[in-house]
Amino acid sequence: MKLFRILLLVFVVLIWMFPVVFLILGATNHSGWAYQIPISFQIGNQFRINYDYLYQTFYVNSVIFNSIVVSISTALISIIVIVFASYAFSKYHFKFKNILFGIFIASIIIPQISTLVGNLKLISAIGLYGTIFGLILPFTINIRVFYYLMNMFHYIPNEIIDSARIDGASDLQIVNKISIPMTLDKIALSFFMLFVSSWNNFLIPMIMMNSRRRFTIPVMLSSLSDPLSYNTGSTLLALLIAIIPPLLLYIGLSNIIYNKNSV
Amino acid sequence: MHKTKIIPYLFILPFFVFFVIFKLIPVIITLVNGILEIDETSIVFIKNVELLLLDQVFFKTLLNTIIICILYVVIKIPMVIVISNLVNHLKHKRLILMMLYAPTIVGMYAYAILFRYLFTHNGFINQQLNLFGIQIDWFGNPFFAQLMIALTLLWGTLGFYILIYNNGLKNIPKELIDVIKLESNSKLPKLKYLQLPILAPVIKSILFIAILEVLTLVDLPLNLTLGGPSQSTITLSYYIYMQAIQYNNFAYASFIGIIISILSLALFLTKKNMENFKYEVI
Repeated sequence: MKLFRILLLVFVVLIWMFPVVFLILGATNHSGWAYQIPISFQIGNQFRINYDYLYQTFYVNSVIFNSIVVSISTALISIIVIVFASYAFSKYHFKFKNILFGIFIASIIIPQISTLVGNLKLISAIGLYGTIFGLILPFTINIRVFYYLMNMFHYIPNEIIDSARIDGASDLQIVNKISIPMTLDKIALSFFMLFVSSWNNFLIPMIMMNSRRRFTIPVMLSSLSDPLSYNTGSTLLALLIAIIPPLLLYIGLSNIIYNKNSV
Repeated sequence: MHKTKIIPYLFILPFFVFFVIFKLIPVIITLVNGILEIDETSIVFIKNVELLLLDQVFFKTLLNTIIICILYVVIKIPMVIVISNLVNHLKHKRLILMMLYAPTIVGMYAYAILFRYLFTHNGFINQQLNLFGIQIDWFGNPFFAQLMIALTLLWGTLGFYILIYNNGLKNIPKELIDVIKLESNSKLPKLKYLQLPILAPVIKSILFIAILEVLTLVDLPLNLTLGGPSQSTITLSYYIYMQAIQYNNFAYASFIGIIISILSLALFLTKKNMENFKYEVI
């Protein structure tokens, strides 16, 4: 049984570490490294060259900057919009509440890919095609996060809200001073999920961005790894750049994610 | 009193506006494009149905999606059950779950690009298989290309399912486990008569999310195989991309999108109980 556990741990470590190890090795080695027989597990000295290639052909610094700006703005707009809406759905009674809720939840049934044509046509109709706003605004609605936060607001006792109201607090004050602080960890988690989903947003950005200066990291990767322009070192370096920020955030937030309420 | 009545509407207004513009209108545009639009001669719907019935590639993509889905589920569910049970009694369970979940943060497109290097002819995986005297042409053989897609998808999503299953494991009453322990010493009855029946809804829900995942799979074929070899890894969703972007055939792409939505709706209707719905959030 003990051997079993050790084997399991080895397996887990392999699964978890392997892509990162492979990426670090690839990013610091020359382009033929991934096809070597056998693959050498040595950190190379080609990092600078790989980076320079990315810098010269893809303006990698502005690409990283774009990705950060796009993800943070998407997550910020999203979280503000979603917090208020989910709070209203959780704590107020109003007309059409059930119908609206039904429509919101039903929209999960329709996968994003199936409205690809509609999305592209809409984005170009309102003039966002190929702009940075086209990467932000169409991706601000996330029904799953809405549903999650709505459930989390249910945990706030109504008595607290009522007593604040008797003390003369306005609705906005109640949200700001009571509801948001009480669910701050859940909101941070939601922010993280929104950030990651925007950071990993791939298909529509790839279709509509054609100026290299406006690329985000996934778009850069997809044109980097075009089979005709194999440059393994630079591709793996770009992949490393793509996975590091979400992973760091994840490690930073792991205490919130894995507290006893959520797991 | 009047004030409190307007406030909830103000709170949901921004969300509602964004929802209508960026979720509802694309659906309507897709519907109009794929079904309702009227040409000089006939309604688009009839045209698309004719196209669909003659389209051999579409039925091939449907078959591909089913095969990839079966491969994925058949490998995944036993793995989830075994790993979850192994992790369950460990001291550092939380840490290991955390590490297992971490790969799911990374986008599927990134796995696709990474695994292209790993699965390539002289790549890392074939080098390891060579030690056992096996040589697989992952990009040339249709079956192995489909298996490759399933494995890559598995790599990127396994942690999420283990988390769901572990959540289920926690909810099994201790008394039941003790009773089974009294009855038998071996591990198997515990799994067969206790865990699997109690966690059947969880397994169903895992199955459901997995099918949905394959149904909407587009990043992987796009970055890993480009649909080849001999169209064996074109999934339904990737076919939408091909029709819309490569062939500029927006009407037909919308129509396939509607078909995927109908399949997805059928899935949701099959799995009526939404109690495990909240797991899909994280």
